[in-house]
Amino acid sequence: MDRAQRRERWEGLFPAGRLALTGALLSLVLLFQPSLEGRAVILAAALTAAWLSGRKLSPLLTLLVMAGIVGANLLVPLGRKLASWGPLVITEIALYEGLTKAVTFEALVFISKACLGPNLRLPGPFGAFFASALRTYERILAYKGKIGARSFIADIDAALVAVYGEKLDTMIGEPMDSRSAPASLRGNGYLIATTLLGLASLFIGR
Amino acid sequence: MSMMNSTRSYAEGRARLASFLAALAFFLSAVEYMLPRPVPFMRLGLANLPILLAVDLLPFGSYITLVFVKVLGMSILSGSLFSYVALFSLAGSLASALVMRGLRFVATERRVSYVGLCVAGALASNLAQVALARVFVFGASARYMLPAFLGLGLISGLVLGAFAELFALNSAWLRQAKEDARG
Repeated sequence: MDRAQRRERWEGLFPAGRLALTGALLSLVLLFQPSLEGRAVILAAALTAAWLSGRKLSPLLTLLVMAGIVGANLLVPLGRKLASWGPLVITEIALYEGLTKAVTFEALVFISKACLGPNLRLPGPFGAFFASALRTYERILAYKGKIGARSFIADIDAALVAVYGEKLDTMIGEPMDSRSAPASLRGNGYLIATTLLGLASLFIGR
Repeated sequence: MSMMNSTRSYAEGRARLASFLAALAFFLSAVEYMLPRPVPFMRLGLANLPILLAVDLLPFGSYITLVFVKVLGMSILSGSLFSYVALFSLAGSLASALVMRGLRFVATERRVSYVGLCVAGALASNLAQVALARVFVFGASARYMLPAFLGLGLISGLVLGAFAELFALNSAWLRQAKEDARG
């Protein structure tokens, strides 16, 4: 199954609004998770979910960012000396802090990737404003192929003139919910189970 | 009655322009994603161009709404809303937007160009982000990053400001938008 197919299956299984709500709850669970091991488990689960959601992932960038965070935290020695590597002294508390921050940083990124998508619709006047911006974005995006590097400014300007002149208040209908009833029930069940497991993890090891 | 209608259509025009600028920010963010980066993690910040142009186009309320919608939209589209990345983006964008707006408040277009606004905005954005990085990610080591971040902010501010000047000189859309903003 390729990335596009995984994405289609994921979007068919989970309603965008409830998925985003689950993501927000799991982010809170992560931030209140007291142990590094607990956070690492959430990172592994979030990474798997992000892969299943069909989002583009870069393992190399993830490793570089995590190494950078740990390395930067090691620059200021804190706690018992564990080892030294040239001028770099590896200290216990600095290493633990660095690992915790790196794991938290990347876990939040993967939770976001798995739980958010362009199908999300926000409520209220702010949501209406946001939806209008997204509709206009889709119209400008249609001109993407006509924008060249050599005439970049002229091409973008031509696209903006064309879209700005259109009647922008023409509503594009909300996307149809293509999920079948069993898929929807199954998706909701997964989301509730995931949230409960996340909440339960806060009490494990206390 | 006609005065009420004209006030309402003026407000609707401003809202439409703000939502158009937000859409432009999403689009430029997508364009920037495709461009090669000279240094890893260094972004030109093309998506900030609409915020820069909005300094002279929108009233304060719509301007700040535009900043929030830009950050929220880009965070949802890139899937980073619940991460520190979105928090950094919000802090950087807000700091930059407020500094640019404040600078325009004390100096007209003749006194401070887009280049000046953009450099000030980029430096404010990077300072805010380094301050957050100190709290959430790097700890006290963040001070070692400050010179490099400010240097990159200066370069990206100069390049984006020069691009904005060039765009403003040649854009038929911006002329139309400025006319609409004046009502």
